[in-house]
Amino acid sequence: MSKARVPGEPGPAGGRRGGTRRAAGGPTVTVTREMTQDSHVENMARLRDFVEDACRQAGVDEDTVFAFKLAVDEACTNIVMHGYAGRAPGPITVTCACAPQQVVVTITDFGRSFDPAALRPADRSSDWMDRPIGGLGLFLIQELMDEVRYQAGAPGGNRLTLVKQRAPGAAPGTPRA
Amino acid sequence: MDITGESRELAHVVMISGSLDAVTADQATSFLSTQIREGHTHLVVDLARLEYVSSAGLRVFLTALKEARQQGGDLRLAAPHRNVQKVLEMSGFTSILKLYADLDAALASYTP
Repeated sequence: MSKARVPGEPGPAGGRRGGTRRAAGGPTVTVTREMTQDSHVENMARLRDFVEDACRQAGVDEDTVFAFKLAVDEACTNIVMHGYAGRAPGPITVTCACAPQQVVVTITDFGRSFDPAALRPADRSSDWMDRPIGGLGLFLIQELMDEVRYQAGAPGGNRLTLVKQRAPGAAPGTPRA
Repeated sequence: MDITGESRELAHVVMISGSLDAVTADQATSFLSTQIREGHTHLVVDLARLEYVSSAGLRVFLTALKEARQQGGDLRLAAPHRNVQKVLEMSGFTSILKLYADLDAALASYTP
């Protein structure tokens, strides 16, 4: 009985690329893939499509696939619009680790960091006239994920970690013909 | 993203296809704003071909909703895909705008 190990934090080398490990005689336990793009808003579709594709190929259920696609888009868009605002574009690295029970995505950037505690909660109840335009991105990330961690200015960049359990019944490593 | 407008008897239908995100939001906002300024204040946004929306897309709907209502009109949504509907619900948008299962129902809602 092998227990899945999830590389929640990429290793010192910044995470493995395309690594696939198999427990002896068991199913694939973790598939990790990584993509780096410059912080241009036009690249957000590449990053979210990359995560969607990585999760799908690992057999992740569709609700979880969508949750990561949207959360990664929101997070990376915030990095472009706020983190790198007024600065030269820099890299955004998305690492996606699909394990049997959960998916862990880390997003690393070298822009300005933010203080999650200073953010106001999203307004989802005032009527249409008073409803503020914007401010929903981080709320959606919190709502979509089981766990969100943020490490500002970590060595090697700001690091946002997104964790979500896969839906039970959507077994990983389903053999494909 | 592709966006088109077409006048029907009961309302002006704007169809948005593809992805509504941080890249395409400005174009959609300006398209809708132009339609409203041209007098098309009673709008149905047909989402049947909208595959993806992020919070940037929600801003588009809210901006246009405010503009249309300030002109005495409204903006109603039709035929959202499951994931688009999920984003609208999570964000609390279903409490401020009207959502219909299909285009005909959305158009019929404007019957005087």
